[in-house]
Amino acid sequence: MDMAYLLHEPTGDPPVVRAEGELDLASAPGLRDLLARLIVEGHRHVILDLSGTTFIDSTSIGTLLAAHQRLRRYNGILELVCGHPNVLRTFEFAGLRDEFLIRETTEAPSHAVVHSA
Amino acid sequence: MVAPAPPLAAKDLWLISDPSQLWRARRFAEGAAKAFGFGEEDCYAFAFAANEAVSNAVEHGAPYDDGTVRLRIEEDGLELTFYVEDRGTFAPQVRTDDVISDRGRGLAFMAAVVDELEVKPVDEGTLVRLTKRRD
Repeated sequence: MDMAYLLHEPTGDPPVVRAEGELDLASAPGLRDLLARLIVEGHRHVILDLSGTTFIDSTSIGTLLAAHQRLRRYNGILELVCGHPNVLRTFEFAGLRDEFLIRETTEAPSHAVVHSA
Repeated sequence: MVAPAPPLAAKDLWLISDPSQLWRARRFAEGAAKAFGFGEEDCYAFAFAANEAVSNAVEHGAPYDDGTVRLRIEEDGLELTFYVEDRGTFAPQVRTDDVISDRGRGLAFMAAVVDELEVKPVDEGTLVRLTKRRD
């Protein structure tokens, strides 16, 4: 099966989820389930590391928005780490650049263990 | 003296209607946008919009009998146009709750990054057209 993305198993506390490659309709269900699982497990601060993400579509942004809104109801937060200009640009033309807490970085993160592909 | 119309170039891609194949649609659109001479930002915008259109066709439309949706890119020197056609009937959904539907969000996104967006019923399906002009 073709795979243009990689979702890493969360590590650390608060949990960091690393997403690499291109986030689209194919990756959205896995991303949604992973974020939902962390919230159900009781985490209120979740970090999604998109520094290795080169593309994000509207469905994936909708998935992030839903998790963000759910966490906020519990006074929690979904923090995003973005490195790629195209990904930041997508949040901008979605009008959501200021809706999320977005930390910009060009550093390559060194944590996380490959879980599945 | 009237200049002759620039030659029209077209490329086709029949894409298996499955989310796992969307990256191929993006490569197809991105490659055409690069060849057309768009800068990096416009290439991304064009590929982004194409991805949204094909995602809609894959998720909400219906494929041809051979399991594909049909993509086409045309250029006329001044503008680049992306088409995707499927066999489903498009019914824009109005949601009554306060959550914008994925499809609604996709359409709004597409409209924001191209110059023209057209969704129209054709013989037995739906055709979406996206056009982006040179600046």
